[in-house]
Amino acid sequence: MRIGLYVSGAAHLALILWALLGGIFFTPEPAAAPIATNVSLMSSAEFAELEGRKPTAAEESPPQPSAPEASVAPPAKPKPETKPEQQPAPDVTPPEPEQPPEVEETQVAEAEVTDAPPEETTAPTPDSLSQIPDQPTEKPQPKAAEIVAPNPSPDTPPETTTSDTVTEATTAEPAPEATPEPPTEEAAPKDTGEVLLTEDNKDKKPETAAPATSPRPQKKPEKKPEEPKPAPVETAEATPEAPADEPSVNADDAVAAALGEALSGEASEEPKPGTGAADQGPPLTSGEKDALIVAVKQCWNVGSLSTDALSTIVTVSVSMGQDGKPDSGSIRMIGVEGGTDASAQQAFEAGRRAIIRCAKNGYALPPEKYEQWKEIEITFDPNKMRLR
Amino acid sequence: MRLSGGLKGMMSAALLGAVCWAAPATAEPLRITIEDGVIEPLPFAAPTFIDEGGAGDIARAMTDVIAADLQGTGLFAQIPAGAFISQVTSFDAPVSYADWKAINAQALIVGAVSNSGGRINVKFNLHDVFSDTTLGDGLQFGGGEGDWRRIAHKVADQIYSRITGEGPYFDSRVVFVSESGPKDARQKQLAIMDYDGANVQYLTDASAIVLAPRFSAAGDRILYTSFETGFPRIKLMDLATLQSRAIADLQGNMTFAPRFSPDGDTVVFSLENGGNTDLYAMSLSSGQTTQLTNAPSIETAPSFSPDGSQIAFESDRSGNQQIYIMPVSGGEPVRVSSGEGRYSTPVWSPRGDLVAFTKQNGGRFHIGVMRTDGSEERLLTASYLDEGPTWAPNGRVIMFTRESPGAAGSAQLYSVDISGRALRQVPTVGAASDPAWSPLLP
Repeated sequence: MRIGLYVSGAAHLALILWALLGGIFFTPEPAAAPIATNVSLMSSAEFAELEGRKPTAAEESPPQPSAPEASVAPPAKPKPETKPEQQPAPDVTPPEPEQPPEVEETQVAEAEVTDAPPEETTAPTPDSLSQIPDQPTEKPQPKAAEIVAPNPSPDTPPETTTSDTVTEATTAEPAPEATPEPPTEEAAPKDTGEVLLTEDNKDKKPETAAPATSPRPQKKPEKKPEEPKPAPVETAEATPEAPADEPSVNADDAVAAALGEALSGEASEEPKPGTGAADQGPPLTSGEKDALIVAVKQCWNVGSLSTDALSTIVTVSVSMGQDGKPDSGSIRMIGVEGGTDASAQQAFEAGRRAIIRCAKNGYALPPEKYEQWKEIEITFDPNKMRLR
Repeated sequence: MRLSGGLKGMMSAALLGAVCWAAPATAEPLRITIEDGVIEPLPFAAPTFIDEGGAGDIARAMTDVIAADLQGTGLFAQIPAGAFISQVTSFDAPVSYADWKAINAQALIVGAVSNSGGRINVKFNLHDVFSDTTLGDGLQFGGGEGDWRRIAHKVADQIYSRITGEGPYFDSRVVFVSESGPKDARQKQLAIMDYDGANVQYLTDASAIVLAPRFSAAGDRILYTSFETGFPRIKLMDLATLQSRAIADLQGNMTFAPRFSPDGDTVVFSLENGGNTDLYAMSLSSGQTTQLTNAPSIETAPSFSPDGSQIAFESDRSGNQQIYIMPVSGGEPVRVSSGEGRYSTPVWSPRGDLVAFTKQNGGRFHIGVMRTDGSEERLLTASYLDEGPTWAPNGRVIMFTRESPGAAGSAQLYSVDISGRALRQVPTVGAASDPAWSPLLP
């Protein structure tokens, strides 16, 4: 009887030793493969036995493959990526010294130019007044934020500080319209400079107040939409009258007349149906219009205009590119009110300079509404400026 | 061939469809109105005119005069040469507009000067930088070497007129009273100079006090008031010969405040007779004198309208000095000044649209302008003592006398734009008063 025990004990011992020490000699290859196969076999066997239990096992198994995906492989990659980035970085620095010599060469060619650039920075100060509209929209905001932040944090209790911050916040909020801020800065010093000469002019400073925007809405409804209306009426009346008055109409005339009617009919229907407007996008908001007005007016310099030109209202049309820049060659005068031909020309040239000067970086117009501002008509009315 | 209305309608409908298919709907232009702008000097660049032979110093000097003329108007601001990105090396070389736009030069003046045997030739182009083109055609002027300043003024006049639309005025002269000595024993003599204070010449010596010189419309003669005999008397001087003679010697009465008519044949003036002062007119050709006013009040400082049909003058008939206008042919004067204070020395603008005047109110003096109907009065200056305005030939600028207070105070000449801007002192040697602006020189 005990022989069986010894045999079984020896067998078990051999099995244990095999399990413990056998891997030393044979482990690597069989160990990895069987483990993978075992996993697959386990899921299929359990799937055959119990249908309800397998999802839990299945859920546990997917995370393992998913884990290696997120397993830090990406994090490990960025590390090597950063390393190569650092390596090219030193490569970048050498090219920099290479560029300066190139610039120096150009500067050497024009020795005087090297002195000019630093002075340009001083000269642009007047320029910056005109260029401010585009860039300053961002500058005022960070400035306001920097000022507001330190103020409230130390002085949370006092209300007076909040009042200060409120005033600053109001100036900062119109950031989209913050472009007017630079002009006001321009107008103020310029007006004061101009008014210095006459003591009475000191009282006229309030004229620079902002209510200039109020009259603009009045010109939105042009009379042109009314013109197309009579057009279809004429066509309706023309058909009965045409045979009565002039029955002898040749084919060419008829085609021309029909084409005219068709074109007029098209023109009359354009403003009415919503399809065209839908293709052209919604009309510009008053804020978008005001932003354009502000951008143009700060380059509209009437300081060198004659007294006659200051009494001349000119309307200028300009075709715009999708980048918000005007086509300089398209700028033309389409209307004049008051003044002589010479004064109208002076007024037109001042308007043209304004349109071009302030469009160095393109006007801030919504690209999705390009069809609405592809063509712009600007009326320059200097009457208010004349009285300053 | 006749087409029925139905067929015509069908054709129009078909064409309408075709057009609608072919041409997408176009939006109406965006319309905006600009009513506010900026009032600032127009930046311009004036590189030193190129020396095209024998004109090195003159080229530089002419460039300086042109730039000074423009900048002195207050309507232009010169960009210093140090800010230039590119240089002009040849008159005919293409202009790199981008370089001038970068420094915000809105106008660029490119010129060249040559000096051949004492004769100067100047040519220039005015560029509208932001339009990438020239403003008008190029011009050139020629003259003697000694006239280089006048030539420079003419170039500046052309530039000024092309940009502003105003008439020229730099090439003009000013006759004035040069003063010397202490305030209580002032010596006065007539002098004439360029409008900018250069080229001063004295017309009389300091032996007799002289006052209120006035140019003829042609600029060849001047009227003035002299105290040679101890009391005021009108004299007429020919500027070509500097010979002068007394006129309007009417029975030994005091005559003063003379002024030419636009045609130069008539002189209006004030005559004091028995304590009363009235206006008179005298024809220089016939010597005939006509009394224009007859009132117990003081009427003086007459000034013709440019068309010669009316006369503006000052009178205290209402109790204090005010400005009146009356027809030359006679008639009841109409008072045009209506504000507080006293109004005097009215001078009609060469354009005929404005009257310049001296106003005294609240212990201060002003130079102002108003419409000929008295409306739109604007005071351009304010100081201890401003008086005696005179118009530039283009009617845009006014020169006047400003006297500083105190025993050490003296009179100086100032000019101001009718917008009230560009107030500046006119450089003179010593004290100066009573300026009279000449017409534009030929």
